[in-house]
Amino acid sequence: MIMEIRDLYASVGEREILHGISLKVAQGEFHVVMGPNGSGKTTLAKAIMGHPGVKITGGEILVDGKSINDLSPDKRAKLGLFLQFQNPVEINGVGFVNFIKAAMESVSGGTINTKEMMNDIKGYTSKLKIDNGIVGRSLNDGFSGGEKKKGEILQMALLKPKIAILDEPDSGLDIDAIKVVAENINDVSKKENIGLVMITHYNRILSYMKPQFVHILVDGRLVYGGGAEAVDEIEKGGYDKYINKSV
Amino acid sequence: MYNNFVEEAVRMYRELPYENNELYKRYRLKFDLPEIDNSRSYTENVGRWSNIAESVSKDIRIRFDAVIYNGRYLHTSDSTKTSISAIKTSDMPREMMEQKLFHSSDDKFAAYTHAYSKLSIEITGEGDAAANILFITDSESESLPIQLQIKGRTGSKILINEFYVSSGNNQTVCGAMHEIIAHNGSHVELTMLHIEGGNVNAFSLVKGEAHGSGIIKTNLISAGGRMFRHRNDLVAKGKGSTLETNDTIIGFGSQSIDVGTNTRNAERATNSNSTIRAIVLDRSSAFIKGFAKIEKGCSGSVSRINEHGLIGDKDAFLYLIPDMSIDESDVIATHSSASAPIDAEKVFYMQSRGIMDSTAQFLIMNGLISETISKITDNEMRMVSYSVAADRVKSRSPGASEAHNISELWLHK
Repeated sequence: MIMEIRDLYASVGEREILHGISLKVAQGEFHVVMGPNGSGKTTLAKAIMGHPGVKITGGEILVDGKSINDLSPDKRAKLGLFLQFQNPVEINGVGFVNFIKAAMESVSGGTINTKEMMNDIKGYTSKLKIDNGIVGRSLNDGFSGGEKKKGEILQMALLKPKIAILDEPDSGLDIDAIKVVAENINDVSKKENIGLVMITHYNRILSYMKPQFVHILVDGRLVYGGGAEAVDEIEKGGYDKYINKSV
Repeated sequence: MYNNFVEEAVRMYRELPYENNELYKRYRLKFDLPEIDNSRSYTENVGRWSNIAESVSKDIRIRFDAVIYNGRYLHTSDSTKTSISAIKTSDMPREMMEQKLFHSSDDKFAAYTHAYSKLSIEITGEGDAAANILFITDSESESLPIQLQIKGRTGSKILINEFYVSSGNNQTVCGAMHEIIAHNGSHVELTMLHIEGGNVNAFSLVKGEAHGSGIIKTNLISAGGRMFRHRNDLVAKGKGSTLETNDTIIGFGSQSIDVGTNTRNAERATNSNSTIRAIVLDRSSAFIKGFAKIEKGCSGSVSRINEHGLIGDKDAFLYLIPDMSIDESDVIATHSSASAPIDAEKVFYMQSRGIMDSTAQFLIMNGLISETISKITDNEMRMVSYSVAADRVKSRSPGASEAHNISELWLHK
């Protein structure tokens, strides 16, 4: 699967946030999008997944050459896209197991064997070092910050998307948790041949991961596209160099 | 004596006003109670009620310990472990009549019940087995309100599950009034599942007193009728006594719902906890009040009201009113109330996992009401309640699963 973003313009309310983004991601590739606060990273992630509050005003998002601009989020998920939320919403009364089973059946179009699913969940919660008890609770309800982030990676592992957009999987995590999350993203993406677009502010998580492509987003524009060497430059000099470039 | 009691109850009923503030008028939260001729005699159509009872029992896979038909006829199963018996209102002792007049003094519907009911059902029990009672109303001219006395003896536990089904027109009224006494150490739990047909009016009342360390717990699931009115009026009278109400409201079509819960902590170290979860769909309107009072001198008491509602459609209306009156300082008292449309962020989250918009909305609404339904102790009743609630919520969600379809249960003519 190939996802291609062509000259994308998008607004939230009356304000245009993205000003002509172009990006191509193939299954199995690992892209990182970095940028200062307010540069449009989360808006880009939401635009890809079809958030109703993000209006595409120009350009296209293509999956295997076909525009998905008019597809609802659930149809995008069925094509193989996945969004890991920066702040997953809490949904009282909706059990994690019922939710993930409904999602897996919807995405796969078939019936999921509950016993096998529960075994998979048990395996992944062990790898992610989270209490298996979260599966008996309501969706994200009362989860700690770390449990929410790890719960999102657990969902990715179970849903097996073709391309996953990860919106700050490291924010709010301690150093040990960052390592666990990074290792699990690496393992799952390699096992399932998932293409990754990972949004992050910091290079700490990247000490455990090896991106092939790094993109710098400043003020709604991609101002850099290249290799991982940019990560070290940002660590040393911040985003000033790129902010000046965008003006 | 009995004639005097009836005359007094009729007078009270006629003189007491309907609640008549502006919101009640605007949202049509009133239905007229039909005049009943107390001198009239009735005949029973046993074939009719037994067919309905059999059909409902088959649909929801519940065996009924008792069936009450049109408020006039009680049939009990031979196998029931709970004592369910009928007393003719004309044979009631003086003390009971006086208590009923007291309960009639501030509620038009209570006075109506005491003025026109012919049977008072007395329920007592031992052990954990639940008593399942089916209430059938199928005629605008043949039905009468019914009275129920529920007595939790010292140290006993009673679980009562009530199922209300009915058919008829907008002149048909299905009404029941409960008077509960939970003595020291007893636990009385009453679950009322209202699934009346869409044309009829229904009301229910619960007046209760918990003595000693007695517990009264009521669970209401409102999922039927053209207009539904319910009142809980509960008092924690004994030190250590507990009141718990869990109300689940599902409004749909052009239904009007009027639910009020009054709890009163009237002794030290008493507890009251009211939880309400409501969903309004289509053009329905619901007016839901929770009022809690802690009396002076009741130190160490706890009182909580928690109301949460979802407005599923733009023409639906939900009015949640929590209110507290606290006359003692050494207490814990909290109230919260929130109503809103379905959160678009929650829907988006679920859609991003491949779940359709309509299914996501169904899961969110079902999740909300499961918070109250999950508190029903009796497993069988809890599962039926989940199914009925899911069926009602789902009926407007064409993409949702059909696994819980029990629509046959509705007795439309």
